[in-house]
Amino acid sequence: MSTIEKLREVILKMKKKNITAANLTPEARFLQDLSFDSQDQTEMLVLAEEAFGITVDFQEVKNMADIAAAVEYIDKKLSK
Amino acid sequence: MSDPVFRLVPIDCGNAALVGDVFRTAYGDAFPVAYVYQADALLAEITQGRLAAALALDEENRAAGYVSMFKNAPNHNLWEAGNLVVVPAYKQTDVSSLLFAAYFNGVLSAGTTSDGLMGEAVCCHYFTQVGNIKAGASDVALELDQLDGPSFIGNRTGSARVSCVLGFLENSAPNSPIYMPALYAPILEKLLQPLQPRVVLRDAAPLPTTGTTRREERYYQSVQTWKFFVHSIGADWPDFADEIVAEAKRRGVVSLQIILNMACPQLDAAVQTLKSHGFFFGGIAPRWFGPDGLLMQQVLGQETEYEHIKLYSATAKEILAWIQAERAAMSAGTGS
Repeated sequence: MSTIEKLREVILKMKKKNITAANLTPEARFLQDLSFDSQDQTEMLVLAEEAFGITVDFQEVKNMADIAAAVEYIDKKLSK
Repeated sequence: MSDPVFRLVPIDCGNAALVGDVFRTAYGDAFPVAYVYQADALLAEITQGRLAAALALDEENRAAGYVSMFKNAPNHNLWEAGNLVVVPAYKQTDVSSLLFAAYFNGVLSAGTTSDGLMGEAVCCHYFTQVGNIKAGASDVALELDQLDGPSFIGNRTGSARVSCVLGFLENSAPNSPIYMPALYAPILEKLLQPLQPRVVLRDAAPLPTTGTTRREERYYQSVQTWKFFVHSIGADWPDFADEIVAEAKRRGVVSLQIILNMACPQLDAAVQTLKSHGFFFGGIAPRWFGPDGLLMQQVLGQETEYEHIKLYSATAKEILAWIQAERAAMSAGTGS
């Protein structure tokens, strides 16, 4: 399973209203398109830590804008 | 559109009235701490050294949030971080991170010269729990079903109650020995590990035959939570346990908590009494009395919805696992 597919599963697990797998394109912006706030962003990252077996530096990802940036960050962590 | 820029300002007589406005946007007039709506009372708390607080203002000096530390424990050198509120219109900005950072970066400098900083994080989301852990705090206790779910703004889980995890950052070395109840030694030793070294005694004195139990209490009627802080144990201890459980049921209390002073030599016996009255483990409240406190608790008239409890740290998950195992053993009649 690719990183983006797994990340989609993570986000869908959050059961946030109006979010479907189809919304979760690489271009989807957390704030504007997915209506994420800081609690949502934190929950996604906590679930991603579990799902991918990585440790997230929450300061580093503070300004992460969209799904593509999240995938890039996770891939970078996985390659270390 | 660029992200708004915020600044934190201490509360003073010029802006204290804005605090009530902030809380009304999130809680109406229902927030259980009355002074947040009363500028004079708020300023009095600050002047008397029981509160350190700041407002986040946007570029046009509109209040976007509030953060505070306050003193609630019997140990007046212990601060509690709490009552962080973000005005809903600013939920999608970074103001919550700015407010949260104030606990640890010296903006609310009151906490830095204290015995420690206690933070209560709700378990219906991860934001505060993650912030506590990343700032170096350790999770030390879990207050099961402490808040009323439907009236708690920010509870997206839909659960009837919201649990809270206690995080603690220790700023000074403890100077009082504590007693270790044998039953909880395995979990307590783990919880004490990240804290500064303590003298731990394993003697177990029987319940006293004289004296009365010295305690104070906090009753939060709006959330059906009742807390007792027990400074010392007297000959009336079993009667005290009988009475508060009966009274809690009469009042419709859901979360009944007792924090026992761990400097009491009778701690082990006192725990056994509480267990026979339906109490189970909660964790440790470090430096609560000066010496540490042991949290015992029970949940009345509600089934805990464990599946809705979101926990971040491995330690918090371990506390929950301990509680579940203890409650299961008590239900099965095998709890010691």
